[in-house]
Amino acid sequence: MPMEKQLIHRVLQGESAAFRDLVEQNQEKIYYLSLDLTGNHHDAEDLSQEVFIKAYRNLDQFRGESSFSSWLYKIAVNTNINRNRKKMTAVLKRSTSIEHAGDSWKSLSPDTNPEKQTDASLLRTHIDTALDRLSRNERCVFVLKHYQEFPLQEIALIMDVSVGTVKSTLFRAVRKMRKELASCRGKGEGEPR
Amino acid sequence: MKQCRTFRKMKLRLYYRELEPDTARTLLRHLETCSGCRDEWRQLSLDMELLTERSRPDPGKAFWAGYWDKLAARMQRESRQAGGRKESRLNVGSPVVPVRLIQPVAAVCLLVLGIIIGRHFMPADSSPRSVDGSAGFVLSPQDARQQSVALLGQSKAMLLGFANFDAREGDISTLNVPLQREKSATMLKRASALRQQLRSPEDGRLERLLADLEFILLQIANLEDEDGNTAVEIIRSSVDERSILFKITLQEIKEARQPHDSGPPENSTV
Repeated sequence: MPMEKQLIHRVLQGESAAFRDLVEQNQEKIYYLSLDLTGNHHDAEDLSQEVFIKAYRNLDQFRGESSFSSWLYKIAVNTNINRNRKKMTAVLKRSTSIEHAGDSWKSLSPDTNPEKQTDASLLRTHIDTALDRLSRNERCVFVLKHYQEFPLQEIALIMDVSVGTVKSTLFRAVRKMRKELASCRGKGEGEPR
Repeated sequence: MKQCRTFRKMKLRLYYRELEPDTARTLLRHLETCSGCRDEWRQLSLDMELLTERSRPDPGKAFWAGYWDKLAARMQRESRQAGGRKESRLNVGSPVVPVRLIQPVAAVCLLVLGIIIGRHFMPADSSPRSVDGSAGFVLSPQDARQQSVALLGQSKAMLLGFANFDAREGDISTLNVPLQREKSATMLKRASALRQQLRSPEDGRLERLLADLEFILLQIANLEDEDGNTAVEIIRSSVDERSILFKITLQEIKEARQPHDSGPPENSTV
């Protein structure tokens, strides 16, 4: 596989096929990050495309200080944060619908009992809702930490904030999500602190 | 009780292993003795497992197979809407000329059209020409071939200069456009004359190569100072698209091998 830097150099020289190679090397990573950030396939596809377009337009600004994929992650996160807040409202409304439950979350229980399956489905809905109710920054930090498994230091670099900010944002996100889970369980649960 | 409060305050930092080792050890020891905090810790662990365990539905092979095409189409579309910028570098099947390149491209097209019309509809002078265009001089096939190859070699340095020019950031003055224009005009004349001398069927490839060179030389010869980097970008694209530097190198290699390959056959004794 040609080296990333060589591909970038070739793109900057006007060789379009090289950009295709760069996209194909990173499309899955960026699509799945976008899926984690947006919560649905349509928006994920849209966001991931936007990331590559921005990368292409600004490729001459890529200094090679981080890996190309980290740079793409940074673009994805920033693009997602900067997206229209109206969209956020729409996502919120959509995510509260039971119809969207279970699309993006693994079955929480292998139990075949229909009642329990319904419980699991409901729980998934609440988790999706909880994710959607996080602020964009909170969701980004949570997703990068738990679904992309980045260390906090790298999340700080991607999001251009301090590690302390990453930590406080992550803890706030977790508290909110646990609160949502607790309200789902409903009985005998105290509010998580 | 004080340790319970400390645990509640610090349990997330404990979970993420963000505590100093001594503090973490103290809290873990507390968990061994306090059933309330232990339950709380267990619940936190369970919640985190639920929150972080997930699968991502694979959008399918068709999605991945068509990903580039959809992306490229969107880039082209947005490029057109934005008046054409860097996406013009992308070749996705449909040729798109950015708006800023339209005028220079149109000028080149008109020139080429003029040449085609001139060649096909103007009365042709059937008398052989010398390499400088004057009538009445005929080169031997071997000389025509050698001079053609020499001309290709001479043009290489100039073409390389254009091929390596960074049209976005490069300084056009480094190309010395007036000099290149003059050299191109001279070479163009020679290329055109030599091409007419190449009549042998085995010189077909060389003739086509000269025709490609003529096209690019024509662009350079008509380069105006005020055209700037945009026009140079067009020339650079022509050099790239026609792979002319590569073809010239191939031709040179072929010529270098020619004396050995096509020398007089030796009498063999069996």
